[in-house]
Amino acid sequence: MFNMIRGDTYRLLHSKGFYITEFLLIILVLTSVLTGTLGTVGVQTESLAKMQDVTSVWNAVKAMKLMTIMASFLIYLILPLFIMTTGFEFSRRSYKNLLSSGMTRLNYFFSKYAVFIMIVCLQFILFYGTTFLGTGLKNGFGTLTANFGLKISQTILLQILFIIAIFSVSILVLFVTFSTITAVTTTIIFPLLIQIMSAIFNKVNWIKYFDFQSIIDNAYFTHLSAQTLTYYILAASGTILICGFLSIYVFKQKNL
Amino acid sequence: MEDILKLDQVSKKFGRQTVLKDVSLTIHRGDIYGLIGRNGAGKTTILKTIIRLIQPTHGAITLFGVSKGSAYIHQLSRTGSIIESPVAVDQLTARQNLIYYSKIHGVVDPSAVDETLKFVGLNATGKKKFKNFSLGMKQKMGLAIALLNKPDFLILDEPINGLDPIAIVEFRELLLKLNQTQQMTILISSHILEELYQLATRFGILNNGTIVKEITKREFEQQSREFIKLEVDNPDLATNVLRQLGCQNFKVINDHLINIYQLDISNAKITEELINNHVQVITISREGLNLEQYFKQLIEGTGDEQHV
Repeated sequence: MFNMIRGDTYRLLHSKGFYITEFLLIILVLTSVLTGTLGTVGVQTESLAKMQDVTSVWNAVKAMKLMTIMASFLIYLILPLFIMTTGFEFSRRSYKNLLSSGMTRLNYFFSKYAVFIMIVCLQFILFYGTTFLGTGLKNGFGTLTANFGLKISQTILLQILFIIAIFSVSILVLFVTFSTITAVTTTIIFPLLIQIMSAIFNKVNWIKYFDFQSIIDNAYFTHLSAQTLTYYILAASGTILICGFLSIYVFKQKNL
Repeated sequence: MEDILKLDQVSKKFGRQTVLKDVSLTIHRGDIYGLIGRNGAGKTTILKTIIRLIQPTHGAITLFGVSKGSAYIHQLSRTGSIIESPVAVDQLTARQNLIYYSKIHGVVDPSAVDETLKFVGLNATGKKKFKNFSLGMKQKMGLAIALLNKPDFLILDEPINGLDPIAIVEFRELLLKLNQTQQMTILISSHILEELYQLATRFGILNNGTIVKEITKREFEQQSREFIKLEVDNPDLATNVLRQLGCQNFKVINDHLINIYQLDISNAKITEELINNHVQVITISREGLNLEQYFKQLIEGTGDEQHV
């Protein structure tokens, strides 16, 4: 697992695509925080509307809070790195090089999952790191309170969980179809589809707990009761576990 | 002699289609084993079952004495393989690709990458990326990745397909060097029989998912020794003449054809005696069975009349 992380880190550091993706992430964050402009993706815009009357200068703490609304952009900035490290393995069939030389399919799956989690963490660090330093150096850092530290940490952990949940569906699709295009399409379509279904079937209460993209954007500003939050976490954890088990099962059965 | 690989009654079905049927073969240490078969005969499926990319439906595969479970997968770390086409990371150079795979395999010897690149002749490719490699270079890259672990057993699936003549010779020399200097056992599948003949020490002939013959190169050479092919109008009379000439080792093939395996009588002498005895000689020539003809005879003998 650690060898795979070492190898894929080397692979990313020697790929132009990695630097282009990280450049775009930094530009996106700096453009937002230095111009005080927020954007969001998807059909849910309630949080954005709530924040649009915010006109005062952003310091680092305020920027961190406000940029939580844009965290779902990370889906599209994790996607290229996920494809580079895992998607191409399937579309080019280079998994053969590893599976034919003593690596079990289970080990391969968990190693690639570990690489994916590393990428998620990297993008979150870069996203919030750039936000904090970019605004902090320009407008000051603001007052860092323990309460803020706790809440932003909880928010980021929840956002990471929900992003992993979205990608766990993409990983399942990738291991079933071996198609990078289908996996990319799933990553983009799945959250939108859930949002649309949630809007159409608004009487079916449980669908909203699978609307991971909206909860990523609203994680800081929406007050959720302990029970609602538990349901969201259970839905995300359940999705991760079920998709993980199914991916392993399908992968172990497959003739490669 | 130690068995490196043993397949015992291995079968594989995809749905209702039987791709492999009771395949049994043994590869000894130091062998260069040539797996011969037409396209679709099941060569790649056999190789994939060995490296567990495919699970066999029935039968047992024993690799380095181990046949089951995770211990078998562990033994695969002693093998290197190129199955179907060689693959590596498109965006990386030859050296970067080897560093990438050495990190994943946990290869600690810092000189392994440069030594392997030098061995396969890719040490001067500079910043050229894998995606821009020629087919010959890609095959060498595949071989380099397979050799990185210093395997005891190399499995190659049609490695010379599409290579130009010079690349074929280079690749053959690399494999011979591995076999002779490192005592590496090699399993190589191909339908380019002339090339395989120059390389392999044993052959397994596969037809319709079944091994129809296993033969060593020495046995094949004994069976395929030169003979005189004699075409005449009257074989009965001709055989009498041959006996009068002291020739005992011949075989009447059909109404016109006799194969003579005793080569101490010249074609001229045979022709002269046959004419003197009023036997009309249609053709007389020296022949030798090559691997391709042998393969064709064997396949046709199993009732399969399709051409190779």
